[in-house]
Amino acid sequence: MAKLNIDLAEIVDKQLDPDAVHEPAPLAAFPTAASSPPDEGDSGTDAVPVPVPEGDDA
Amino acid sequence: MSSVSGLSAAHRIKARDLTMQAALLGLKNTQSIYYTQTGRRWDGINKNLKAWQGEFPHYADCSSFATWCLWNGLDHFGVRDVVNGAAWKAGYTGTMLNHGKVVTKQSNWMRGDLILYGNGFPGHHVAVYCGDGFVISHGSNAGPLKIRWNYRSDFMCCRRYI
Repeated sequence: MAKLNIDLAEIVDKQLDPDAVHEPAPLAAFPTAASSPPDEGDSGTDAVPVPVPEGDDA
Repeated sequence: MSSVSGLSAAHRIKARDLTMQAALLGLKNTQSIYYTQTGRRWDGINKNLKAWQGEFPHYADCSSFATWCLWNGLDHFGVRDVVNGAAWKAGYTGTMLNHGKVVTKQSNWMRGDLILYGNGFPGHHVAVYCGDGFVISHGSNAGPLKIRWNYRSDFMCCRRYI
């Protein structure tokens, strides 16, 4: 685990500093939706690759 | 107990900050984020759109928006796809239910956890918990909304991935 943390730190060091960017207003600044439109639901069509069965063509 | 992400405590805090930054950016730009279940729902990750750079996807559905938010926090630290187990390229509520860990007590819910809804597997909707009893939910062309976590009657569970 110690090595993992070191590796992650190295990754972070190679990236730009996200703290330098202006963050959006806090949650409290946004109005609460009085009611929500019906949720459309979720898409499962591309959820996970489905393995193709083999050997059924004969 | 070790975290799902394997990150240190300090990095988990930062990952939650980045996740929330993404969710709040979506909320700020709610009128510019449309609902789709086409392949464009992965634009946020496929186009490497980072919230800390002010970038966000214009197309998403509930699960791809929630995944994009967590990707902002976890990919920053090089964490593999612990949300859907699909290399950050796919996923839906079913894969989310197969990953992470359940947080049973509401008092233990944290920013960046996901709230899943539906009557049994594979679930029907997911939103990002953002504290104080609120979620940010992207479930229609109205764009992401800030709303109480229990606005639906089919709450299934809260899961943690960070």
